[in-house]
Amino acid sequence: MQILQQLIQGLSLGSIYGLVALGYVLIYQAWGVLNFAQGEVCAIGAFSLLVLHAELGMPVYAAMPVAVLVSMLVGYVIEFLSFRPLENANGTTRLIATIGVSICVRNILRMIFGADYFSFPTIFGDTPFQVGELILVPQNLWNTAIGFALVALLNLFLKKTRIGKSMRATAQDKEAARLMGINVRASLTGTFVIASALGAIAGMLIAPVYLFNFNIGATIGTKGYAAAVLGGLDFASGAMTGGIILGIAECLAVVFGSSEYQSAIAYIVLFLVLILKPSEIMSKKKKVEKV
Amino acid sequence: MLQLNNVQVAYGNIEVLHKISIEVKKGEIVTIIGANGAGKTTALRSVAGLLPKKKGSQILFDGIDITNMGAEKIVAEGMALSPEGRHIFPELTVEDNLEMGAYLRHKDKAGVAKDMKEVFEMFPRLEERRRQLGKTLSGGEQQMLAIARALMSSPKLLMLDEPSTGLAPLVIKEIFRIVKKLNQTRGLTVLLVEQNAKMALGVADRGYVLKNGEIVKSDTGENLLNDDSIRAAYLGGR
Ligand SMILES: Nc1ncnc2c1ncn2[C@@H]1O[C@H](COP(=O)(O)OP(=O)(O)O)[C@@H](O)[C@H]1O
Ligand SMILES: [Mg+2]
Repeated sequence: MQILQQLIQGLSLGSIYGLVALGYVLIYQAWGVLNFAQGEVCAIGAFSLLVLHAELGMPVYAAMPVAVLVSMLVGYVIEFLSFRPLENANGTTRLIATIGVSICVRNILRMIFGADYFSFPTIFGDTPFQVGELILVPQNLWNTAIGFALVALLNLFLKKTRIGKSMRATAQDKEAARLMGINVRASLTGTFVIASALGAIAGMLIAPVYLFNFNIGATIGTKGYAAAVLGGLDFASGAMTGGIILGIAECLAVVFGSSEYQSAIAYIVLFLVLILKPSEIMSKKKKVEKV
Repeated sequence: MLQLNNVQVAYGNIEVLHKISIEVKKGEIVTIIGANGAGKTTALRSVAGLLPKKKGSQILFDGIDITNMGAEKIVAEGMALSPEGRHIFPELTVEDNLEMGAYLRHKDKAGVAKDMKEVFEMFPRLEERRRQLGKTLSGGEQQMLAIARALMSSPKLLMLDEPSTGLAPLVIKEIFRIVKKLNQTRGLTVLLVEQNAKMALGVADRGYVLKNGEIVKSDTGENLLNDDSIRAAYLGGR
């Protein structure tokens, strides 16, 4: 029973990791670079909700969309200031730029909010209820549902709509996309902003689970990055699978080890994947041209 | 339909096209032939708006100046390029590749559906594989897809860059037959770049010979085909 309990918990955590991972993957596919500031965008989402809801007293259903918008705006600024000017720079330069952005954002958050821990309001309630021997927390169940729903929605958007397809086309071959009449600039920006929105939602949902201070972006970012890498940096399904595996692994570590192991799991996963198939992580796979 | 006047293009400091002038009239098939590295691809990419042109260059298309227009704008004017190396979208299905070809025609659903049907009639292989990913197609099928995708924008001018590369002779014949047919039945204007000069001059009304970034000769397809110096240089002497 304890294992089932942990599996449910892992699924809930994992679906949020999956959302964060999806942000990494979207940007990676479109821009060919891992955005290490993605965790910071999640943090912006969480802090925006904290300010709007807990400080300014906005009702949750209004504060959430506004917080998402704020994060999309921040995402746009990050894209404009640090991705766009480096579009033609080499991979390492761009990677380091994203690390720079993440340090910068984290310290801005520290300047505003200090280093104190905040108690983050749960959005969907944290009063557990019992089903048989299982103890369930509404917030966790909602996290799972929302995680899966968003992934499904994004999948639908990318696979079925004209704009979604044009974003995938842009990610696959920018020059060919231009020849179709697709505005590659707008498509890349759109992808970035959507990734920011996903990150923000993930940030809000996961913030109540963690100790929450200015540093949360680093924690969330690492989990998302590990999940993305584990999923092969592939579109929706890969990211989600990676997230869930990571989430469950973390929770099982609690069962079989101790809760101290939990936070090490993401690093172990990263370590293993980087050793076993490093090439895929460092550079976007070149498409093979058939003759 | 298309006019290049003194078009100069450079990659960095290296000038690759030296003031070339080319004209394609409405309803013609015109070919540019030349050895590897002559600048054929550069010429087509410049016309399509993928490369910046030097000052003094001018490109007119259907009465408008497209010299400094970007590729995504030029498509809307009715020009399509099937690029060298095909550049189909590998992770999109055949159908989605074609839909992307018609990206700017989203308000004309009926027209797009009709054209989709037509390209499937032209290339039945593509219809059989409509739900397969682009990357799973054979080379010949990918070339067909690249051409079909270009046609989906319903262009006035179709530009083809080396459609025969890497394909079996029978497939090449089929592709040239279709191009000729499009030209005759629909009046589609075609600008064709080929290393396979014999094939290209065979279908073309007129041809230009590009050598080291300069037009060294232009004549009707037939005359070029029978020109001794051309035969020696580009047709393997036969
Ligand atoms: N992206 C590029 N950067 C620098 N030089 C290039 C580039 N593309 C082509 N070139 C050079 O321009 C010249 C013409 O190339 P290209 O237009 O591809 O010739 P063709 O299509 O006739 O084989 C060649 O010397 C080639 O090396
Ligand atoms: Mg070429």
